[in-house]
Amino acid sequence: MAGHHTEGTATGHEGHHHHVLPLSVYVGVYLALLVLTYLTVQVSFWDLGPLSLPVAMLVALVKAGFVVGFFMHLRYDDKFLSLIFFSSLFFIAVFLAFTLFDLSTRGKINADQSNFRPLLEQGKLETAGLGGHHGALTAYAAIEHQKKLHKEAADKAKNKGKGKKAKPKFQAPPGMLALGKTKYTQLCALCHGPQGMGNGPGAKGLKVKPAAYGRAEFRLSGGTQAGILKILKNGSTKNGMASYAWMPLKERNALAYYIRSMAFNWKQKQAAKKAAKKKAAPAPRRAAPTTAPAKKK
Amino acid sequence: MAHDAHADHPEFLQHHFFTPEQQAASSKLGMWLFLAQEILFFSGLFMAYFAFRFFYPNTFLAAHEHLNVSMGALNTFFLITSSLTMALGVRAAQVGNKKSLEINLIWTILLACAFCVVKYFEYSHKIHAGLLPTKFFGTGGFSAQGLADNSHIFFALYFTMTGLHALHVAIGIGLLLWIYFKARAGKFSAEYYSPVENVGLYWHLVDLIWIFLFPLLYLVR
Repeated sequence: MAGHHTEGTATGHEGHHHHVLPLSVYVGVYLALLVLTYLTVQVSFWDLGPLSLPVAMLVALVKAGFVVGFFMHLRYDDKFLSLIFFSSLFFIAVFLAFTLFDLSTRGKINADQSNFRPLLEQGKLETAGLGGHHGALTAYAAIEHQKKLHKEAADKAKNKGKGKKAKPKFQAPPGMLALGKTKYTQLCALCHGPQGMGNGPGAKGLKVKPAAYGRAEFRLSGGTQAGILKILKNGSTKNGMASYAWMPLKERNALAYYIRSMAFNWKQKQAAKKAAKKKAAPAPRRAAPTTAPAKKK
Repeated sequence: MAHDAHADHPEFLQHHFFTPEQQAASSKLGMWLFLAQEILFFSGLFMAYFAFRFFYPNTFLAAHEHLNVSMGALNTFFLITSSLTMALGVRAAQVGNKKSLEINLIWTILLACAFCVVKYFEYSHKIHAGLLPTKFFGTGGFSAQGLADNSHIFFALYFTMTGLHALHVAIGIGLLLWIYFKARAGKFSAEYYSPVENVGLYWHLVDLIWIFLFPLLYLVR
């Protein structure tokens, strides 16, 4: 089968030929493997961001190519053996690629489904699964978040039993509020104001004043997650709101959470003020719920 | 024993083959089919790795810090070098150099054992530190707080993937010993060395899998 390669040693007169590679090839391949190993370790210390995994895999593939091609003689062997080897690689590629497609787009499909929105607005679904390009990640976070919500609800019920008042707190998946705040400060605060009061420096020249959702004033979105997401995506030519469709969905989602948390906290404050007025007589024993939703004892 | 292949059957040629070449090609075909199966079989674990890394990128980044890169690199060096000695051994068998074949097999076995020794130190350290994902996970040197959330997933993958690989190394050592003793008994010649070649292919595959395990487990970025 490998008999076309007639160079190499004479192995008797039976026509039993095999391809014997010169020693220098083996040593060369060995040195290449060592250099590539050194390279992999070095590359891992560079900050290549999302490229680091593909680069590491590429180096590994080159190394694998050397081992398979020379140490395992596949380059010089019967082509049928190559067919076997590469067909196994082909099936692995299908396996990995399609599974990763699935994982990476799960959240996305849900967010774009038209029948998903009404459920969102009715508050029947947690929105953490709206995942942009980290769809699966946030879809997973959604499950974790749901668990957390259940736990907190249970804790709340316990605390009630003990007569303790739990501070109402805006619920958002972990990390989303912080991300939303960053993005808000960078992009929105200029017009909508740092506290969301619609009084940023950029608002001065505008005919239609920016929405002051810091006072729970929502004009177009209705203040729901899906509504805000829609405005962020499409913008509004009438009101002069720009479209942020270019933003990864995850970041838009975080923005919507943060904006809602502002309105939520404002409402809480108002409610606390009202309650304080009603009671009036005894001085309020407790301060109004804080605006910072971050810490909890 | 220099004969025409068809005239009589050499000792090593099994009766159902016509020629030594046919026998060698058949056994190599079988070996490659087995290797293709091995690759597919490992790919499941690699898929699990990629899926969980996709779910928990930060966990993987944090948890991999508990692995010792220099030990991993040392083991990579051992395996690549053993791959070289194995390839040289097969070459020695091809040219009928018995002495060189034996020496190269010995080196391969020694390097494989060195790999296992390093692995032993790595494993024992991690198990004592409470990083083996069982009910004892997080009870050793690392308190549960010192570990990122869901770290057990990373370590479960680490132990399963390297464990299965180590099992292959152990089997490889057994096969290499078998080949070594056969070589010493003078069973191989330039006409007949299929077992050497096929064990060599197996050994290179073990190296091949480690080439992917090393960056994925030890060098997460």
